[in-house]
Amino acid sequence: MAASDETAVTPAATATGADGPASALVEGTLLQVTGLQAGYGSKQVVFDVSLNVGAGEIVGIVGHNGAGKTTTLNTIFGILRPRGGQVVYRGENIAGRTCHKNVLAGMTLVPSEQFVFTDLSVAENLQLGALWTPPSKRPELLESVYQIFPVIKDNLKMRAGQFSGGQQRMLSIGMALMADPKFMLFDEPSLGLAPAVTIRVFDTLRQLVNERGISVLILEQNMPQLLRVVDRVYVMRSGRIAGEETVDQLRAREHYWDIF
Amino acid sequence: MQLTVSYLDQILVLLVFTVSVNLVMGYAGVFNAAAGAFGAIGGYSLVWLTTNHGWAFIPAMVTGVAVTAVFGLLVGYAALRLQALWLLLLTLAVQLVLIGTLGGLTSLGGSTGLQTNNLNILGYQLVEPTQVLPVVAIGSVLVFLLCYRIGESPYGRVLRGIRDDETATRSLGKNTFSYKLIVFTLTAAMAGFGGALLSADTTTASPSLFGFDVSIQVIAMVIIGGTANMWGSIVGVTLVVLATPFFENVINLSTNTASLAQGLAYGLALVIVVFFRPQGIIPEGAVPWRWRRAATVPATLVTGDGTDPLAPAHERAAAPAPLVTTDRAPRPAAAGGGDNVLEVRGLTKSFGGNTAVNDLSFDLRRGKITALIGPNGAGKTTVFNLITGAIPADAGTVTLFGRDISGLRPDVITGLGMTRSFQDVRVFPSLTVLENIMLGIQDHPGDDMRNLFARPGQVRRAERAARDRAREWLRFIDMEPLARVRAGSLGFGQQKLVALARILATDSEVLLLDEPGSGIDHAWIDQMIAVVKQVSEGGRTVCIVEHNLEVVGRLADHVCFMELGRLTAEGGFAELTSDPRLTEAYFGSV
Amino acid sequence: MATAALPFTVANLEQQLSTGLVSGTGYALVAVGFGLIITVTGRFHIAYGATYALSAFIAGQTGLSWGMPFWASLVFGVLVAVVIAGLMESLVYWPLNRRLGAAALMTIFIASLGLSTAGSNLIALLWNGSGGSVNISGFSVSTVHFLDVFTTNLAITSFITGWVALLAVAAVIRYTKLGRMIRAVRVNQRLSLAIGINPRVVYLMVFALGTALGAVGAVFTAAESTATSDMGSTPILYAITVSFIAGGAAPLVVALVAVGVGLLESLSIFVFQPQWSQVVVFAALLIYVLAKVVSENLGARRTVKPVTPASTPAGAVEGASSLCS
Repeated sequence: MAASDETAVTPAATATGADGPASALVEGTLLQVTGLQAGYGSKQVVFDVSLNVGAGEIVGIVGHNGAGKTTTLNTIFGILRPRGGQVVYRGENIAGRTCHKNVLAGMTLVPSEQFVFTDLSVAENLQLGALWTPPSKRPELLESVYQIFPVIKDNLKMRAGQFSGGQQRMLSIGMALMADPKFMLFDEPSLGLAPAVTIRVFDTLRQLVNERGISVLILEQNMPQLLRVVDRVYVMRSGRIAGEETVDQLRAREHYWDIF
Repeated sequence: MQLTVSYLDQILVLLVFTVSVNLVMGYAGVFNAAAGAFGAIGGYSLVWLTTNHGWAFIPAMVTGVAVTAVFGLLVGYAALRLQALWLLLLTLAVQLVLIGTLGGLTSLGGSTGLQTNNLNILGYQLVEPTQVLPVVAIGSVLVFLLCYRIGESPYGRVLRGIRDDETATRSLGKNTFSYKLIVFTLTAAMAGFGGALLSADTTTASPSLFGFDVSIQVIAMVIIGGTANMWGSIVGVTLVVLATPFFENVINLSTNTASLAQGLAYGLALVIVVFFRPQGIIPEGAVPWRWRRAATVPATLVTGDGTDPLAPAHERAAAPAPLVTTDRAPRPAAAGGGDNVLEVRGLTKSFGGNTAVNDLSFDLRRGKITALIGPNGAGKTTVFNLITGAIPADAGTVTLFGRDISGLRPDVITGLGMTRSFQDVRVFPSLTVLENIMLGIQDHPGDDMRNLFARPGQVRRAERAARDRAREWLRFIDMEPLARVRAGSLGFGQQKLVALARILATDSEVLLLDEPGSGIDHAWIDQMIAVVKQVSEGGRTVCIVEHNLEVVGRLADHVCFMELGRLTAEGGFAELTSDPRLTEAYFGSV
Repeated sequence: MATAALPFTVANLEQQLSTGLVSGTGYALVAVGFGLIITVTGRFHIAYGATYALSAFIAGQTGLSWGMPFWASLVFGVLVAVVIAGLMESLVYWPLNRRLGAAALMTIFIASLGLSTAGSNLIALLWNGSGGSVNISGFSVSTVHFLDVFTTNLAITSFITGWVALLAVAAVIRYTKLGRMIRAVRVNQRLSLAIGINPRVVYLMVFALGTALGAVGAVFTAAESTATSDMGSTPILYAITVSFIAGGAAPLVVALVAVGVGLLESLSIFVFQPQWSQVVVFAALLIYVLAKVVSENLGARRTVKPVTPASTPAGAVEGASSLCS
C-alpha cells in the first residue's frame, strides 16, 4: 500500500534565501491561517481551520468528501469570503481579498474539475495563465513549460478540450506556471488521472519546488501519491482540522480509515 | 361618473388577468409571457362571433374561453417540460406569432382589429361603463375566488413547492407536470375570459389591446402587488391603473403624457420592488391588514425556556420526543418482498462514454441501516437517482417489496413506499417549516383540485389531520417553536432535519439518505445520527450514501463497497475496513 | 392565404436581396450585441431595446440642438447609450447578482423588464414636445442605382459601417487580451476567477461592446425614417430569436444568422403579403423551439439546457461576487 521509497522524490530541505529566487522567499511562514470559518449561504462548511505553509514546503490536506477541503482552499485563494478567522500571506492579512489581487501577489489555484478553458486553444490557455505576468518574463516561463510538458509545445493550436484528461491536467499546471507563482494551490490534482500520469505530475511538482522554492498546498484523497511529494499533512474532517502528521508518521500507518 | 366607473371596469378586468398570472407564475413558478395572446383569443372570439356572425353573448364567450383552454393545453404540454429560459422563450414566441397573425389577417380587421357596437347579454346593453360594470364585477369576483381558493389551499401549497423546488416536490410523491399543466390550462382559460371582458369593455378586439406590453404590464402588477398573494394582486392592479388618472388630475399632465408617466412609474416600481421588497407590497402568506409584518416568524425567536432554538437539540438537554408510531398503518404494499425490501439487479448506466454504474446488484434488508461507500467517482449518488426513477437506467431491474419499479417516475415510487433525501437538502425556502413537512404527507384530498370545490369539508378535515401529523414530526426533530419560520432562513443543520422530517412524513418504509452527515458540524452530526438510529429502530429500512466514515461506522448495520460503478464487497464496517485491498481501492494506489 | 405581394422577377429578387442584406446587417448588430451580453454574463438584458432607442434620440438631438455633423452625433449617441448600459449593469444587475447568487437570473430579467418599460416611456416623455420622435439630420440622402437595384447612399453607408463595427468587435474578441478574457469568462467562469480575471470589469466591457453595436444600428435605422421610443421593441425580439437559434456561436456566425433573418423577412414578400414578414420571423423562432422540445423528448429524458446563456453568472459562483469585484 505505501509507495516504495526508492522511487519517491526526496523532499528538499526548506530553501534558504541564498539559493532560491529572491522574489519567492519570505523567511519562515508563507501562509498562516487561523480559526478560518467559511460556507455557502446558510451552509457553513468550514468551522475552525488553522494551518500554515512555510516557504518551499509542500503541505497536503486530506479528508473525506465534504470535509471542507475545497472550501478552505477557495477561501484562502479569495473565491469565497471567510466568515471568520485570519489569513496571513507573506505578512499581509489577505482575508477577503479578491482573487485578482491574490494572483498578482503570486498565488495560483488549479481547481479539481474543469481546469482548462476547453473551447480555447492550448496557446490561448497559456496566454490566459500569463494574464498578469510582465511580458518580459513570459518567454522564459513559456520555454520552461515547454520543457516540462513537451506535449503542450507540440499542440499549441489545438482546442484544449481535445486533450486527454492527463494532458489537460498538465496544461492546467502549465497555465499556473505561466503566472510565475510563489504559492500554488492544487485541488485534487490526481482526480481522474491514470497512476503513471499522476506520478509524473507529482514528481514535476516536487522538482519545481526544489528548483524555484515555490510553496505548494495540495488537497488530495489519493494518499500514496500524496505521500510521495509532501512534507507534512493536515487531516480535515467535518470542517475542522482533526490532526497533523508528518510524511513518516503517515507512511508508518497501516490504514487511513480513521482519518476519513 | 362614467369616467370613474370606467377606471373601475378597467381595474376589474385587469384583475382577472393578474390573479390568473399570479396563480401560474407567483404560486406555481411557471413564467407565462403569453397572457396577452390568450386574452386575444377570448376577445377576438367574442367580438367576431357576436358582431360578425350574430352569436349571442354568452355562447360566444363560452366558446372563446373553451378555445383558449384548448390552446393553453397545447402550449402547456409543449412548454412545461422545458427549463425556465426556454419556457419563457416558447411563451414569448407564441405571444408574438399569435398577435402577429391576428394583426395580419384582414378578415379580422388587420392591425385595427374588430369593432363592435351592440354587445348585449340577452337584451341587457353593454355600452356605458356603468352597464359593463356588473358584468365585469361578477366575472372578476368569480375568477378571484377561484384563484384564491386554489392558491390558498393544500393544492396551492403543492404549487408553491413546485415553484421553490420541482425535483424535491416530485420526490414527495407529486406528479409535478400534471399540476403545472392543469394550472397553466386553467389560467390560460381565465386569461381568455379576461380578454373577452376586456373586449366587452372596450368594444374592440385589436392586436395592440393584447400585445406583449400588456403581458409585461400584467407581470408588473403581479410582482409589485405581491407574488403569490391574491390580495396583493388587487393592490397591484389598482395602483397601476389609477396611476394614469393620478398623473392627469393630481400632477395635471395631459392625457397622453399621463399614460407615459404611468409606464415610467410602474417600470421604475418594478425595479424598486425587486431591490427593496422582492415579495411585493403584500407578501406571500400575509393578509392585507397586516401587510407590513412578515407572515412568518424570523428564526431568531427564542423558546420559552430561554434556550436557543437554533442549537442542535442535544445541547438543549431536551429528551428526544418519542418516535411517532401512533396510528401509522404501514403502506399495504410494504408487506411484500420478504426480508429484502429492495432488490437491485444488474443496474447499469452510462453518461457519454463514461460508465457510472456497471452491472450493480445489491439488496436492502428490512429494518437495517445499509451504507453505500466508495472512492470518488464510484457512482454512489447515481445509484440513488437510478433506483428512485430520477434518471432512466440503461439496463437492470429494481424491485421494491417484490414489485418491479424499473422505469417508474419518482413520485410514483414515493407512493409505493421509497423516498430519498438530497445531498443539497432542498427544503422549500419560501414555505414555513410546518408547510415543508406537510408537503410530505401522502394522499391528501386537497392534492386533487376537484376536491377543493366538490368536497371542501373533507379537505378541511384532512388539512387539520395533516397539520397535526406534521406537528408530531416537528416534535420528533425537536423543532416545534420553529413551525412558522420560513425554511430558507434556517441554518443548514436545521434544514437537514426538516428535510428528514419531511420524508418521514411520507410514511415511506424505505428511506434513502444522501450524505446525511455532510455540511454540518459535529454537534449536528451527533443529532442526525441519533435521529436516524431512532428511525431505524422504529422499523424503517434506511440506506445512506456517505463519505464521512465516522458516520458510517456509527450508523451502518451493513456496508456495501462500490468501486467504478460496481459492488465489490459487502459486510460489516470493521470487516471491510480491515481488508487491505479495499483500503487500497479507497485511498488510492501508486 | 394571400396571393404573393410581389410578382417574382429577377429584378425584384435583387431588390429584395439588397433590402434584406441592409436590414439584416441592422439585425446582426443587435443580435451580436445582445448575444454577447447574454452568453458572457448570463443576463437576459431585455432593456437593450431602451439603450438602442436612446442612442438614436441622442444622436438626433445633438444634431438638432448643437448642429453636430452626422458622424459626431453617431459617436455621441453611442457613447451615451454605452454609459447608460454600464450604469444598468453596475447599479442594478450586479448588486442583484451579488445578493441572490444562482437564483439571480429570473430576478435580473424582471428588473430588466422594469428598466425597459421605464426607459422607453421616459424617452417618450422627454421628447414629448417634439411628438415623441426625433429625426437624424446631417446626412444628405441620395438614391443609388446599380444593376436593377434602387437603394440609397444611406443604406449602403449603414451596411458598410455595420460590418466594419461587427468585424472590429469580432477581431477584438478573437485577437486581443480583452477578447481572450471575455471568451474565458464565457467558457468557464469559475476558472476565469481562478486565474485572476476580474469579472466585474469584463462584464462592463461586454455591456459596452454589446450596447455600442446596437447603438450604431439604431442611429442608421432612425436616419432612414425617424427615431421613436418603441423602435427597440422589434429589434430586441429579433435579437432574442437569433441568439437562441445561433446559440453560443462566434460573433460572425451570429451575424450571418441575423442576415439570414433579414433575408427571410425581405424574401417572404414573394410568398406572403408585407404585413406577414415579421410573423414569418417569429414563426421561425416558434418552430425552432418546438423542434427543440420534440428532439429533447425523443432522446433520453434529460433536462433542456439553454444553449446560449452562461448558466450561472460569474457573480453567482458560490458567493464569488462578494469578493472578486
